[in-house]
Amino acid sequence: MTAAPRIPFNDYGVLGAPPEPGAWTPRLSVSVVIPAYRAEETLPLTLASLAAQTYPRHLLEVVVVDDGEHPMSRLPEIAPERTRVIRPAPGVWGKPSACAAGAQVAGGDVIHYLDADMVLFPEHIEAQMRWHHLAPYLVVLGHLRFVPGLDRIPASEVLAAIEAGAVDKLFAEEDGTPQWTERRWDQTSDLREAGFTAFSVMVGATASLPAALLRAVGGMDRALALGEDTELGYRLSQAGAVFVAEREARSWHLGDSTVMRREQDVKRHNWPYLAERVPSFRWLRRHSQRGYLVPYVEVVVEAEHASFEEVRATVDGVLASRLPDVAVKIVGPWGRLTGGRRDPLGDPLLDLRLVRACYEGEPRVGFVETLPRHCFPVPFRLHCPAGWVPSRGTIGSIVKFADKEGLGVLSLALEEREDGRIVDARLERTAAVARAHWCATPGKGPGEETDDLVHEMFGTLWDAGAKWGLAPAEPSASPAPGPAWTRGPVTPAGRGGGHGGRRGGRGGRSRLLRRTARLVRRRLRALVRPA
Amino acid sequence: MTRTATRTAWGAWVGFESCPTLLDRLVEGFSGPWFPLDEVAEAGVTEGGVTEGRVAASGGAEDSVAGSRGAGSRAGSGAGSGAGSGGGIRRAGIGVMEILGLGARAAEGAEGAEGDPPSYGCVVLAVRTPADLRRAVAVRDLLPAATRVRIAVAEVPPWAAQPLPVAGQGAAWRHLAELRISRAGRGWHLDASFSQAVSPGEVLAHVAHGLFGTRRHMAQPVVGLAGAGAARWRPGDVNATLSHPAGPVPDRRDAPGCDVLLRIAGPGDPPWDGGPVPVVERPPADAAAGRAACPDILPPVDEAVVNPIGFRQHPSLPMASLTAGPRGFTISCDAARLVRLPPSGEVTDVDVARLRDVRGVAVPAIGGSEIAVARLVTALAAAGVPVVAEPEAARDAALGPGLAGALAAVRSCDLGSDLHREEVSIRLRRVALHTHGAVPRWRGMAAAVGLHPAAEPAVSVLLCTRRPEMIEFAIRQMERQRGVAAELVVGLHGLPAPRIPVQSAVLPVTVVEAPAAMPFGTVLNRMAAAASGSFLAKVDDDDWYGPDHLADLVLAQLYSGAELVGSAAEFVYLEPLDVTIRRCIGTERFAPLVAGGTMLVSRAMFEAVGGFRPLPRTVDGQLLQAVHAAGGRVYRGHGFNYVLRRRSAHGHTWRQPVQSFLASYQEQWRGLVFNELMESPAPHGRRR
Repeated sequence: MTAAPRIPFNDYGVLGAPPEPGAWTPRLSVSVVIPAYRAEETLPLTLASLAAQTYPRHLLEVVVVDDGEHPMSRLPEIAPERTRVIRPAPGVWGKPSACAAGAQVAGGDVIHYLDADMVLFPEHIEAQMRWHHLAPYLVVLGHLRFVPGLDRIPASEVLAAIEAGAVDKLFAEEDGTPQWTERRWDQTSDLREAGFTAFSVMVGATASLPAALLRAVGGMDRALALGEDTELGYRLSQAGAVFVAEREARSWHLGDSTVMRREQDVKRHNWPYLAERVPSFRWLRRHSQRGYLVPYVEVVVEAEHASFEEVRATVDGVLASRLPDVAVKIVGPWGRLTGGRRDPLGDPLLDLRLVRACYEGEPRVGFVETLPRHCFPVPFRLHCPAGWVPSRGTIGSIVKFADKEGLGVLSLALEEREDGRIVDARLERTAAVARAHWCATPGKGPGEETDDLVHEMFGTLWDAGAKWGLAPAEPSASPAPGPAWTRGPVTPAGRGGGHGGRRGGRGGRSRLLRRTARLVRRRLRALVRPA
Repeated sequence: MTRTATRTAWGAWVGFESCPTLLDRLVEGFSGPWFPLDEVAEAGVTEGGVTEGRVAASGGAEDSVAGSRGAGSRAGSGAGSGAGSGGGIRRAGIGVMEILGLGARAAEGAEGAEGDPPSYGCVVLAVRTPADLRRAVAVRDLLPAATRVRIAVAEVPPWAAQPLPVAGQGAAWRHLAELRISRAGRGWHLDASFSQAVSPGEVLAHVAHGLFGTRRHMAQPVVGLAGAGAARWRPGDVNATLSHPAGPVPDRRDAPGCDVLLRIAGPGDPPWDGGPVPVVERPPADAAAGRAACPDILPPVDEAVVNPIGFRQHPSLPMASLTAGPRGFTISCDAARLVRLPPSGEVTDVDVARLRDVRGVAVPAIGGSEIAVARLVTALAAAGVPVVAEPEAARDAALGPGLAGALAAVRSCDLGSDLHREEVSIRLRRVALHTHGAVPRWRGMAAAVGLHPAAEPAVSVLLCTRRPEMIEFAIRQMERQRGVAAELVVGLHGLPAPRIPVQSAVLPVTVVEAPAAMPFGTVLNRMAAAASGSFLAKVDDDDWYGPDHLADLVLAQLYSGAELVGSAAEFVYLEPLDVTIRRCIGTERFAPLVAGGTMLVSRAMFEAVGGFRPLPRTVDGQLLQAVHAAGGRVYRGHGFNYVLRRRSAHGHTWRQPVQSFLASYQEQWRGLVFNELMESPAPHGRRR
């Protein structure tokens, strides 16, 4: 087995032109998963068009997930040889669950999701499948046109056209309505230039992806009733997937889609769900304080070789960030903190214990012993060494910078120790690290060449931490509770203040002045430092 | 102005061919008549009174400046007498001053008795740019004596020094009554009054010395100049001897007047009969087109003014293009006219300064004026202005195979990236200055007539190391240096010499041994004592050097005239991070700091400041400071021949922290990456 090809950003053009239909030898098997709900009239047409596919029959299976209130009567006569109908478990309903159930029983190397009101051109499956033979992390999106439904054209006519091999003559391409995603295709040379946002045009009407990739991202999210394909696209992109727009995989969609008929209602329904799950949709997360199901940045702080004060300074700095949807993972040997009798002040694990105690009630802080290699599905991970404090704007601005420059990894040099070791903070893009693992040479140790691969496909950069406001913690961080805690009632607003809350409530104005002076000093220091 | 002052004033100009109207407004209180100083060299040697007539006649034909001045001011008497008695009759065997005397006598109001050198109340010299000032220097003896000398420079480039005279041994300054130097618009105005008549040429020479300092421009062998436009061949030469177009060359005390004579003569001019001096003949600028073109027929580029100083790494304007018109050339960019150039194709420092912001200049094939275009392209290339030229046989022949080849290799797509643009610029300027610079041109011309010019200055490379494992690497870096005569002085600081092989098959090597306890500066001084070159170049044992490192430093020394030149540490390999960065450092300018591993200092300056300070470290910075203190200048050239290796801080004394290198960089590459001029494959660079 050879290493997978390396695709920068979403530019699958580096793979070259895929083989012409009919001029290559397929190897991978495909399972077409069709969630069917109230599709008694159109499903026979979909199956008939599947039966007329150019893709080899022995590599093609169809799983129809019958999601109707009552089981389907029987399979239509014209269908691919290996066609199964399954029913979801009792009480389970909805398209995402049907999709998940279908994928679970599917045996193919590739899962191809297909709506039950689609009529495929004969090369449709082949045109998509040829891509999957080129790289193992591609999601291929088919091309469709919305045409009049069966209320306007008799099913028998469609069936006759399918059987006669004249699907393309059924309708005129220019009469059909293009899907909303097609404009994005046009603008981004078929998604090749879409960069990190290619996933947002993931639509489940006809899309195929390797089964291993689908398993790696955890399959469809069953909690969603609508918008599940966008959410799946997001997670696929975080797993390093590349989205291919295949115009030669043509099809007719019989009748309009829900999005076309009730766009505003669909958006109203989907946005709260997507806001929780898709951190890249920044416009859905305008609130300045609250947290979400999937945070935007996961900050990792190693606690084992640091003092309590250092860890606290760093974590407090992160929590005070102007970017609200951050999560903190503190890594340490938490299992060693047993409840047995100990000397409270002489405990050799005292610092760890205090770190643990310090954030017991903070939901954004988690304690872990080991780290997975990336923080999927959180899009960014920032390794911040204990004792280094990000300013309120640091995290937001470095993420923005990484997006602007298309960086996979941004390293910030903080300090050069006397032993020559460089202390650095490191921002990793989950999608980039995940794709590097798809492309890693088999046999090499994990992470051995990750940075080289990330650099080749996305780019890595070194910068100076001071430039982005990452400063060493002030040594006087002893826990002397200020007057704000001892005097008067603690207002809920006090918590949001975060930074500088220690110094006391008296003279908020002078505190502000002090802080400004410190910022100005820091800026000036950075300026006069010899270039 | 009073009538007296007008009558006793005499004015000459250089360099206003393409902007005659500027002359009118330039010098307050003086409205003419103006004489083109270049032409005086020829006009002066004809019969009495011809100066003005000749000017008027020639001006009518092609030179509107001279025409308007001559006709406007004294059309009546001047033109009349010129046409009547002049007529281009030449008299052999008459001294220049004597001729000028005749010419001046014809002018009204000149003081002084018959036979004495005439003197004026005021002599005004107007030059458009410092480049024109250098042209005037070669013919400065043509300026008549005066008690007041005014020198106006219409415009100077931003990097130019101020025109402060540096008095030599001349007699003039002993009579100085008042000296006033003031800024005038974009230029300068110098006004000096003396208690008795002095030679303005001397004042001019000392102003030029103040502007440009002592140069390696080879005042010897002594060059004689004859014919109009000959001054273009010896810009800034204070030691040139002026002669009649037909000879002879006036003798000097106990010595012949010159060692080689340059004569500008067309087909109609009489043959040389000035005696047994080697003569080099060149056609006038406008007649040269007919001859078989080669680089030698182009007047050289004056390195002191047309050079890469002021190069912009990040130009703000797109490509400009050259067009030819009836009255010269125009370089314009986006419909805005940036510079106008005379039909001769002469480019000055001010023109170059106006072109600094363009990405490059596109030069089409312009039929009919190949020689002028060749001059122009040569000057642009020498100044580091990237040129994209359509091929044209006659022009390319005049450029010479080296420059024509370098031009042919320029692809306009290369200029899109600032990095590649600078690489193109450096390649072009190297070959242009080495082929067409005044120093190499005269070196070649002197050699061609059998004179043996003094050898090129040699460079002694000082390489001091404490790391035996780096010696071979460092010697290899120096062995591939080309274009200079170099020797290597290796200092073994605290290393036992017999056990360490220090040898080179290419370079002569001297080994200096020093105990570990000796301060670094003292070791370097001992090494310098063992060196024999005119320049001392300090190199570091772990940095990378391109093959033209020394040659480019010597070249930068030539065109900048600085006593110490160096490169910017623009490219830095940060070993602890395994990245190469390009820092934001201004280059091609006079600057207080250069990278320690790239310093090249003249031996004279090195000895004047007493060598390095006897300190264990920071000796580089201290030398720079000492050179400054001694009145020397430090020039920072481009950084494309040098990659600084920033090692891990481990085991070193204090070094600049690695994160501070990242505080300002303009580009970054993963791994060790070299630019193309380093001419070595990057050991482990990776593409982005």
